[in-house]
Amino acid sequence: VTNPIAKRDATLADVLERVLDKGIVIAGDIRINLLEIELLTIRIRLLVASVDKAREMGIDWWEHDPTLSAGDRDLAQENRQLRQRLAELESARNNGHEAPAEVEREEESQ
Amino acid sequence: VSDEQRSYLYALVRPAEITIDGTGIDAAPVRIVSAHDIGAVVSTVSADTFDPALMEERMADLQWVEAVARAHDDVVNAAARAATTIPLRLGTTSDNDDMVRELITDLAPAARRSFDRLQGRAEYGVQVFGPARRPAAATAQSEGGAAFLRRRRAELQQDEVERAAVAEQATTAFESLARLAADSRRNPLRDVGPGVAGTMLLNGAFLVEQSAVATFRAAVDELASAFGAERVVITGPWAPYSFADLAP
Repeated sequence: VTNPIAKRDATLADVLERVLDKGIVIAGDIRINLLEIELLTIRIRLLVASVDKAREMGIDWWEHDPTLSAGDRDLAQENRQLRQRLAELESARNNGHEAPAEVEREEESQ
Repeated sequence: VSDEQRSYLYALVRPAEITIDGTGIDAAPVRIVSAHDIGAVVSTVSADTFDPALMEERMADLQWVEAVARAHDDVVNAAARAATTIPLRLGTTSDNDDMVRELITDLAPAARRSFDRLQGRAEYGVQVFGPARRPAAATAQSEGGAAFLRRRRAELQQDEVERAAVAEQATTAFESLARLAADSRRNPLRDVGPGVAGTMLLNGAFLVEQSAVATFRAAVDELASAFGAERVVITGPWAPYSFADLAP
């Protein structure tokens, strides 16, 4: 009896949850190399959180996130104005001090 | 780029006398390496494919990750249709097939215990979703920023109350499904992307006896009519990713 390898239609998130998070780790064996993916999987988790849905709809979900876009407000525009205002306030208040690292802060809040 | 090759391991299987027809990661043919009554499902990969120095970059490439993950899972599932299967973690490689055979020999006692427990059973996933966060209503031109935030907070708090109620129902649902399964786990909830499918309230994995699959599916259908069909998702059968172990 042969068993063909078939493509399945599971979502990527469901597949990654199993192959990256589950599945047996043969730990501490010199004959085995296990990909050190613990840290890398965190990034993947953030990615898969929305990738399936985004693909299904063929869009960037954040553009259509109702919690982010209220009615016909132009959120991007508003965001730009707020950032600009914040930058002005910060440079006025803390002349000479380095601005906090924005990227790091965003990652921590995920 | 080196010519070095390694043996990539997908799963352990019992019995070892099965054939799996097709290709796995990097389109390499899949074979069985066996020792005693246990087989390892293996294909040859270039050492470069899982070179630790290149991994960070590779894992950031979602297309590469998807191709490798799906190839791994497709092979594991083909194995699970043919034999009792212990799925291994993505990215498990060994120097060569002799090393794989030694490994099987060492792991055999633990693997046999796991095979005994998994035989004739498959994993199913059941996810229950709660209401999505409601969209913010369009603001009147006259509404101030503070008023908007107050109103928005009240709306979100109300959503939270509704979600908590559904979450409790999801727990009851999990317990009722668990009674039909040989084993069960609640996996961490995933953020499925705001505003699209709703909030995930249950991410259950169930090890279901072959003879109980019809009953289990019927129970999930019942949940779907209770929660609403779009709120309940069943996946599987999967190889028993959430239930295999090699504990000594």
